[in-house]
Amino acid sequence: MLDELEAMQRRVERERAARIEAETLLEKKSRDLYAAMQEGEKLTAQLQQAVGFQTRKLLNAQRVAKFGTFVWDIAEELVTWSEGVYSILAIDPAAEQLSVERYYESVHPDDRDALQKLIENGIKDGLAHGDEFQTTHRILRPDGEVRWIKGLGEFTGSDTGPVDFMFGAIQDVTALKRADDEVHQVRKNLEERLSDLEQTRESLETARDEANAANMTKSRFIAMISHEIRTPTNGLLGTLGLLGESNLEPSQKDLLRVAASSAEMLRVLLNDIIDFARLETGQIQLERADFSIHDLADQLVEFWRPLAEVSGNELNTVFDKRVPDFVHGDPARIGQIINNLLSNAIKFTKDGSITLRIGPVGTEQSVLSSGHLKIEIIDSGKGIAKEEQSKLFKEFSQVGSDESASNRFYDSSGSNSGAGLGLAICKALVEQMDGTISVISALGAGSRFCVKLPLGAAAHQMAHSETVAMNPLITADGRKPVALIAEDVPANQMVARLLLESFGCIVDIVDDGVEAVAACKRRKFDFVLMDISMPRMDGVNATKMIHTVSDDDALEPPPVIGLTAFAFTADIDRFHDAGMCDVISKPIHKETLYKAIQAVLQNKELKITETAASSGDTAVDIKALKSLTGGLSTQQVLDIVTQVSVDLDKLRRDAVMFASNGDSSELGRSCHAVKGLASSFGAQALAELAQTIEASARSGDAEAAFATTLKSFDPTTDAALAVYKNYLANYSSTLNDN
Amino acid sequence: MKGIIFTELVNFVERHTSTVVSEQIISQADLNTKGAFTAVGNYPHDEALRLVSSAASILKTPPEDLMRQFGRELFEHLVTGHPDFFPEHIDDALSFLSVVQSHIHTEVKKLYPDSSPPNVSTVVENGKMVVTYESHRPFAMIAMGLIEGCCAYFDESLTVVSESNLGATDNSATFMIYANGP
Repeated sequence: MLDELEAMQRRVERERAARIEAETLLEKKSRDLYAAMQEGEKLTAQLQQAVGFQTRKLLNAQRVAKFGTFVWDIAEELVTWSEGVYSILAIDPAAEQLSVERYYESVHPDDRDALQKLIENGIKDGLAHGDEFQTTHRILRPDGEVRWIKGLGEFTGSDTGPVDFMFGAIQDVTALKRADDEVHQVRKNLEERLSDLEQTRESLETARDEANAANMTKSRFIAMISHEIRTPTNGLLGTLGLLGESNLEPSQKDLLRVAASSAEMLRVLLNDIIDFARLETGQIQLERADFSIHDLADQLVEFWRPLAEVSGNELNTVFDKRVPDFVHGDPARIGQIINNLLSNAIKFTKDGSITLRIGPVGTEQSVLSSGHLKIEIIDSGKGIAKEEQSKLFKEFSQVGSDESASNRFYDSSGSNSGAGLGLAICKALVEQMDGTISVISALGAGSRFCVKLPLGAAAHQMAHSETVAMNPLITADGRKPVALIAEDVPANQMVARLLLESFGCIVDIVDDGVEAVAACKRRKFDFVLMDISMPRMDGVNATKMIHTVSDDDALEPPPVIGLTAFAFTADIDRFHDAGMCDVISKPIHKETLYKAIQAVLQNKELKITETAASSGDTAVDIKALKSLTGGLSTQQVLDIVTQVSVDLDKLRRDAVMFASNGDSSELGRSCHAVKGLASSFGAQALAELAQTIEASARSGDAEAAFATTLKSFDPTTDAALAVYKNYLANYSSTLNDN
Repeated sequence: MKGIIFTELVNFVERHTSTVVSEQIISQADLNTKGAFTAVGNYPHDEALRLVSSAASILKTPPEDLMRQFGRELFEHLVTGHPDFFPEHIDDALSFLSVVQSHIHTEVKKLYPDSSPPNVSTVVENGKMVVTYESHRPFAMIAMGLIEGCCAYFDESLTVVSESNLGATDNSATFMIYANGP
């Protein structure tokens, strides 16, 4: 067992050993610690260097970006500012320490309150962790320079408690702001300029509209004034026509012909001007109707053929078999176009050929399927130079206007105006129909005008009525019928006139109802072709006026044939009530018109019978006939008048035979017999003619007697016989009625 | 193992015996270090086991009882001797036990990277706390004593029961801690 002392010794030994070990360990730890410290210092130095570098980098970046940062300990009211903030504010950090108050002082007085409120209210109103704010304000540097600052801040704190820090950054955005201002200024300037331009444009548009309106007014004025000029021109032509029917010396007739041609040319010119002005002001309305393109082309070609032949030209029509007979469109306007082009072709072609070719566009099977019609007028004339072709369709331009005046003189068709409007009107009309017009030509190589129109085939291909022999019409007294056309559209005037002239009528034209009434007072017409829709006075009222006026007038009222584009039954009744004896719907069908006129000319005798007292210009004085046969029975009257007709016919044939044989004494005897018989039974014209011939034959002027007989005896006698025939027909129908 | 356990163990023996007996125990243990431990040193854990065996044979006391008692006294010594290891704001035993692994052993590992503290996990279920102890050292009885010392330190009348009968060679154990007895 250990004794106490030994145990104590051992414990001391043990503790000493432990102490020595502890010291050794301590010594070792100390050395380790020292080494660790050395290492730590080295690392710290490295770290500081790195941090310093990063800081310099950051500060340089801030300086370059004109950027500054700050950390604001709100509770401690302490702000740490980066160098950037100092340089932005131009404050020397060595000389002065920034504070929140000092920052507010730097803010431009105009922005200071707003900024202060923004931040202080933000703090007061309990901004939460993560809230951000943004501000743009100006600062005033010590040297007075104003800079624009953009500030951003974020509040931080615990999730629940109040915010205690604000991290923020400010940036000098003066350059940006200035650039922005400049952009704004530039934009503002641009907007101002734009607005100026807009105003200029508006005023230009206003000016243009005014100019257009003025131009339209001018066009309307031209149309109106031309119309006003045309009215007296029509009067002039009518009067010249009357004058032409009177006995004139050959030299006087020549002068009259020149006067009439000039007046006609004037009217044609006016028509073109009116047409063009109306086209320009959009006053021309196209009609839509089914019509025969064959008939239209034939009529036009036949009209122009004599004139073409005078210039030694051959005039041909070529119809492609794919063209249907009836198409749908405005026949008057299409006729006007073809007419113009034919007129031009004839005018510029001598001893050559002119062809009107009508066919489908392209290689379509028919016009029906293509819906387009191609009208070509090809001439072998002098052609048009390339540089002149572009001017061709412009108004008031005349290509090849060196043509002699006599050429235009011939042109009484209403197509070659001489005003240079013809092709311009064609173009305007074609374009209004949604078509095209073009020309292919070269000097000396002829011209080819090509019109393409969207004309469909007519819904129903009408069968032509049986061909009626359209011999020239004559009145009951054997004259050419004198007709009045009352129609406001020049193209329709032209179509109507072509037709009536082809029937052998002498034609006078007026533009409206007022003129028609005046013309009927001025001159005796065999019939009137009256358009229903006309300016100033329409056809219905004009017809009423014509029939009213004639009561206290020397002239007998002429029968009126109405013309209307829309032939409704109710309207037709109205037209008849007004006194029209027939109504024809447009487009005019040649045969229909012929028959209507024929009927009117025959009906007219009935009217003569009833109003014979006023007749002084007819083949037979019915009043005289009536008084001669007064008291006789109907049958006796019929027998006598029949006998008179037979006798007169025989005497007439004898007289003509004697005149042909040159037997003046026998001619004188026959005429004497005719004179007696004719004057007894009211055929005053025939009686006078017979007396004149008898006198010539007996006075020794046999040649004059023969010539007059051969020229006038047949028609005059025919006229008288026709009256008797109608009288008989009328009389016998009365008999039957009774 | 950390030197502090050895110095505390020597102090424990010295505290409960006379100088002669305690020197006998140390001598009989035949330690490589001759019992000259310092708190900052590191020593093999079987030195401690030999010391416990020696004490048990000389004091004629079962070694597991010695270990359990050592654990009970060790807790307060550690708390007072190393307050920096202990978490703040902990004022009850169960809270403390629940952060032993996550807080204390984590701190120990930070300071002494080559140390290997035991795994101590806690689960609260059915009105009791279950503490699981796992170590490569047979110190389950020291652990039990430490838990009991902890309860005594916070002056709480908790009952600590081992799931199985433990001896001086057990290196793992499961303890149930009841507030109102099992």
